[in-house]
Amino acid sequence: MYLKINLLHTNNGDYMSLINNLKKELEISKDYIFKELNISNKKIYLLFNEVLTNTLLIDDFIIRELVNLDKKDLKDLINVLPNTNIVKIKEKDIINFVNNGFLVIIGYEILAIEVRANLDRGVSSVESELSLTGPKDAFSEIFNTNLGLIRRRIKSPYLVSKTLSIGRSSNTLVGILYMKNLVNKKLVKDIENKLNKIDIDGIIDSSYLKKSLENKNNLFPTLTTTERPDKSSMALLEGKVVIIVDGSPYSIILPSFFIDFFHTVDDYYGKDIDTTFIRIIRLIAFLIAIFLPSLYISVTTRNYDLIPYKLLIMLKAGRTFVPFPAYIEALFMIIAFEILKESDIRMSATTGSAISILGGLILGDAAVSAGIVSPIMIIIIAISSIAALIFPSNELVNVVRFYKIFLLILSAIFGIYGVFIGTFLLIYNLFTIKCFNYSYLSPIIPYDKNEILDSFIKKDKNIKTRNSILTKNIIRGKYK
Amino acid sequence: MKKKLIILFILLFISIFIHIPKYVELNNLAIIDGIGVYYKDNSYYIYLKEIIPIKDQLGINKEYKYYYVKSKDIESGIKELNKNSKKKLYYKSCNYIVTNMNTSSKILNSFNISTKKIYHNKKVLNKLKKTN
Repeated sequence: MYLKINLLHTNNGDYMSLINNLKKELEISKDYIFKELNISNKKIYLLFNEVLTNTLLIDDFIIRELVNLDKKDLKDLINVLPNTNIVKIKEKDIINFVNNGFLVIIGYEILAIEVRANLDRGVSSVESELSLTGPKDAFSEIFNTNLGLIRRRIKSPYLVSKTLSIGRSSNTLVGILYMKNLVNKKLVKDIENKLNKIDIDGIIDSSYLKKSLENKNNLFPTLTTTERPDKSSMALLEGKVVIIVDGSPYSIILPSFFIDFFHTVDDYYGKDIDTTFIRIIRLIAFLIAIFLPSLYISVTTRNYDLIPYKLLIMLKAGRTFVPFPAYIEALFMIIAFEILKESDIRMSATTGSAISILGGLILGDAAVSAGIVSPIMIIIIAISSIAALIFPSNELVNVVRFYKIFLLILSAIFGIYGVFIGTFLLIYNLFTIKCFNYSYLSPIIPYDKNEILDSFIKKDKNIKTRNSILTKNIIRGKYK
Repeated sequence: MKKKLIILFILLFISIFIHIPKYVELNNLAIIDGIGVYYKDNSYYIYLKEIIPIKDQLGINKEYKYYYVKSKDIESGIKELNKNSKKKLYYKSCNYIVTNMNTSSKILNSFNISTKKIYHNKKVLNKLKKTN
């Protein structure tokens, strides 16, 4: 902002003072290149950033063309130069265009020509949301690539891409994508308003937007981040809004309901019966991940009468020489698992596997042999932690971890009543969450008889529909 | 957030009035496998058999420990046994009762258990008596 203000006051008819001021402001950064050309007795100035632009393109198609032009052509550069993206700009926008990979020509007028360098790593394959049968392409860090990956799937004029620039220093391009024939206009307006209120120096990743788009009091995620263009496209066709951010390989889908976190893209590429089975497994995994450790603590410390005699004998045999209370042992195991998980994520694949073997097998076995932890506790925490990892959303995994520990503490204090109290609070939390005024438990509350067939079960009818709370245009199509 | 805290507080308050079993680690739990009650000369001789499962290389090995008390009635005998034991005596997993009494309902009520196997056998009781 400071730079722009300076530039505004430099132009006195000719561009000399503007050039001098630009040089003064940018001379410390050696990647900004000023080039002065004398063409037909007229001084032309070129300004670009050599790391953001393709210099071969500048040499071959801009400078080579410029030096052969006469004075008359210089006044009509916008029509003479062989480039599709060439625009006339104002002085205050020079820096912005240069920082976006444009070559700025200052002559009779100020022109910006797109000569972006290819800083893209290309369209790579999906890493975190693997699909067995679906497309393998993933979003990249380049805004246009990401937009293109969606447009390739939805070739409709109804697909709207509104762009905003957020971040005082970063000027990050943020795109709001939606189907204008499906989306609730109020939802788009609300999202736009929230994004416009963001006042921060930089948006480095799409995660930066989460804080303003999500309700701060919610533990559960109310938006989905995905690196899959097919998932984003599906959401758009459902009447949802997708946000893409330049520099981020993850898009944001809004609004997201509780049930959405139990769905994967593979669910829509397979048979209904298989999808239903897997979704029920995910629900069981969710319950195991949250409740198993707390139930174990309550039945082994207060409510023994809830377990059969033989199991009680087995559990007691496993804990004979363990010196710590069961809840301390459980917390210790959860923390150990989280440390292993965290170190595994940060390490490379080869080092990560070594950590898994060392932590999971050797340390686990040694801890049991030393009598520090009981084998049954390792089984309980391992099953519960692995069950949580079934969900692709890291936010949901974090919520599961929170409730697991919360219920564990309650069960240590109140036994099985503590588990009931925790369950009640969990349900209460789910009932009260709103995502842009939509119920988080949709399509269960409010009940949608068509959409319920794509919830914890999946059953396609001849007529395919959308969630009625998201759009009025609920009919997607018919299977003949 | 305020609402959530109020609800949590109410639930915790309610839980105070509900009977919450005492916190006892499995290590400190004496699982009673069998109970013997011998009635003679207006006195009750109560025997408890604790099962101590120990895990070894071959699987679960079981060891036993016995408790004995003589009292004027079963309830006070149970109280004394509970008082003298370092561990919490857990009767609900009791597999059998041996007694010389004609009726077992009094024993079941006193221990607050429901055991399917009840033996009215003097010989077993005498054997138990000798073990102690």
